[in-house]
Amino acid sequence: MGKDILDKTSKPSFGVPEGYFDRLQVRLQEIPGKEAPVSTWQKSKPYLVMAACFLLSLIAGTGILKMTTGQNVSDADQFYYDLGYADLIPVTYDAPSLYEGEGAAEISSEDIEDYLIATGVSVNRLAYSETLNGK
Amino acid sequence: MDDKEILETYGSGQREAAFNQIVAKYSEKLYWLVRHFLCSHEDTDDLLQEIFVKVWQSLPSFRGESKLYTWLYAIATNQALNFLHKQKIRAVLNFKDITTEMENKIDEDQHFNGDEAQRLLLKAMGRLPEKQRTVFSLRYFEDLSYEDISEILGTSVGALKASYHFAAEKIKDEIKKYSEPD
Repeated sequence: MGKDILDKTSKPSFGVPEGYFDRLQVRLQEIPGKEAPVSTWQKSKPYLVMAACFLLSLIAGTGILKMTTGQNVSDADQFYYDLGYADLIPVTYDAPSLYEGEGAAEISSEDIEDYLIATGVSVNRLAYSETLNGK
Repeated sequence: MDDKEILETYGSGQREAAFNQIVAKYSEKLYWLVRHFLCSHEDTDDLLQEIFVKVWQSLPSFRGESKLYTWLYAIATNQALNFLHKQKIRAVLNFKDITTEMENKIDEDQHFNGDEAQRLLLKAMGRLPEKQRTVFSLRYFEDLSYEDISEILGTSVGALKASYHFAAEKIKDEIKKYSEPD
């Protein structure tokens, strides 16, 4: 039976060189002179260093991200400025000034024509529009 | 000097004296614990030095929540298992089989005094999964109680009993297979 096999088999016996354990004890008892005990602070030191490195990289990463994002916006502004993009946008009065206030009801056809001419609408186009409107 | 006195000695500031007592009392026991894991005398000798360095460095953090000897056995067992892990990785990197390597070590060990059946038992033990091997070694070779093994390995007694049962069955089968071929 299986159980008998394990019971019949005596525990393996290893040997050691003569006087080994005496020499071993002497060798092991020299350890305190060579190795200082490690305190809890020393044990936690690597973890603290790792946490500090993580924080630093997080701060540096956030800083770099902010700087590069800001730079991009500014570059874009400069790009459009250089192109004269702002000059391409027609200059108009503010909407409230057109529709509010005392003068709002007093806008004449001439005012409208002046405005259209000022915004670049050609005279031919204006004449064509007037023809369509039956003027 | 019993464990309590050793710890009192350590607590009173006589650290080296306490450590020397631990060495005197446990070096041989831990040697055999590790030797049954690693089989090789040379490997055991090297590892024992590392184990006691670890013991010396960890003594300040020993709170006395467990027994001194289960704490020492836990350190030795963990170190032995780490050593085996490293050996396994080295073997894989060198395209070698760790089981064959271990078996060769048993065959070539000049300090092995056992017979063929005992050699088979050690080889069969080497083929066990890590957990079963650990439990079998602590129970069979060191005669530790399941309660103490539970404290060392942090596993329930029920799980340990099951592990030991499976390990013993596998070893018996292996010995039977080799001792009664066909």
